[in-house]
Amino acid sequence: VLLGVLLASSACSSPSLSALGLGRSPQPAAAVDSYPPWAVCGPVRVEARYYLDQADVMGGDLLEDYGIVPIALRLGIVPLAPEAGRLAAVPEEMSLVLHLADGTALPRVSPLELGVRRRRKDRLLSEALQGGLLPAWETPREGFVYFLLPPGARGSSSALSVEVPAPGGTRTLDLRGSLVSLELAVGGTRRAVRLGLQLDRHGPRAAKDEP
Amino acid sequence: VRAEYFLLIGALAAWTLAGCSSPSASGKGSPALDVAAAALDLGEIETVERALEPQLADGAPQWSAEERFWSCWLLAQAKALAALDRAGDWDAESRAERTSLEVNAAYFAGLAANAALRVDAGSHAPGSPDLSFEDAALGLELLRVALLERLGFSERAQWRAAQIPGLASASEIAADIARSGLHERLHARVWWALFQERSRRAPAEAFPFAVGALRATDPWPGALDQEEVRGIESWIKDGAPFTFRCPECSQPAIPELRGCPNDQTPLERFEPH
Repeated sequence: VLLGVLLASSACSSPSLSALGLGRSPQPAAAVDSYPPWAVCGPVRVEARYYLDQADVMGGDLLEDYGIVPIALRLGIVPLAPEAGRLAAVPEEMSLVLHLADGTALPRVSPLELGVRRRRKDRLLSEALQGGLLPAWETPREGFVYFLLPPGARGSSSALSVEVPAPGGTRTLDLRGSLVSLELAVGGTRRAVRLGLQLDRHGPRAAKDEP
Repeated sequence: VRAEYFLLIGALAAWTLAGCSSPSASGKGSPALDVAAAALDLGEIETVERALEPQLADGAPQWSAEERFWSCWLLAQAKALAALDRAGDWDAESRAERTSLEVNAAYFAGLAANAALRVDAGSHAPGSPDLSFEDAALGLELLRVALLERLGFSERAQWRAAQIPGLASASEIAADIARSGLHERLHARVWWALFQERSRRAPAEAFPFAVGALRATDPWPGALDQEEVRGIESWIKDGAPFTFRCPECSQPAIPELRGCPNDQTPLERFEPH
């Protein structure tokens, strides 16, 4: 009986034309709190940034054109943690996931898996987070991790929002409410790390790249 | 439970016949909300989601602030409960799914908090006329603290807890949680978060919070991870600034037993030495 009632009710929640995004203007994202954009896991500090001018950094708008959210990660050993020894982090083994504000999980994708032109792919690879021994925090080293929007989702760089499929149609989410989750092997155990996104511009990277 | 189950089926049938949703301006008598409230009591998470999430999609008919508050209040709890159901899964993919559900719960809790700013004080919970808007809003804030702590944002959780009046003592917290309308399976998570906060800020005061967390998880296995339960028990034995002893026989606390093995004095009555 319950199943029958649920099936009947599901017919009522089919997406309408307007909910499918036809014939309406973009919906503003609901205001949500953002999460702190840094985390400390034992001797490791992690920061995550979303560059407002990611189109300049990447030579094209990855969010709108390819449904890719590029997040810059910086990991390093904090000062006064000599006991840390040698710690390594490899993106493929970090269980990296970007959770949009409503929890929608975006998997990490390798630039090699993306259907982009070769020059773009080379650019993405050169900017990607490299695995290896973690440097001291003071050493500026940052790399991008790429997350793929789910089918049917679309991003807006100007509005800093992502529209995702949701029960009843779509849901517009503020990118600032997103959260990165990852795992690090510290002291012989895998530890979960979660952090929000810092919105930034190319400034620090540009300064670093200057001769 | 059987009576509640048939009540839920009846409410679902009424909701379906009524065209899924016909929220009134005041929020009273909204079938979808009544269905969801009954379903949450029974732990029927998918029914809560089916009843409410379509009403919150882009372009859906605008609900009143009151209806948005109660629907998000119910969904936040439903998602937090769904996250608890993932507690036993230990592969990386399952852990990420659990995080997604916790973020999802925090999202709806945030939406509820936004809507709460425009809700009249006289409102009461769908299906629960004894639960006032004010008490539910308190429960919502406690849930937000619990979710922040669970996600690892301890400083943010501590800050948010400091904004909530009436969290000075364990007895006050017990009363707050009891009247908050939060699903009982979530109580342990609130206690655990407040224990974590207190053990960092004022460890000498944290023992009643530790006991509160253990007591709240006993009737709901899985409400806290085993690791979290062990962490509390370990703190009582080794991490606290005092040794807690039975007031009758001075037996040091064995928190796993929840009381004195000699005379069954409950752990709550143990005293610091």
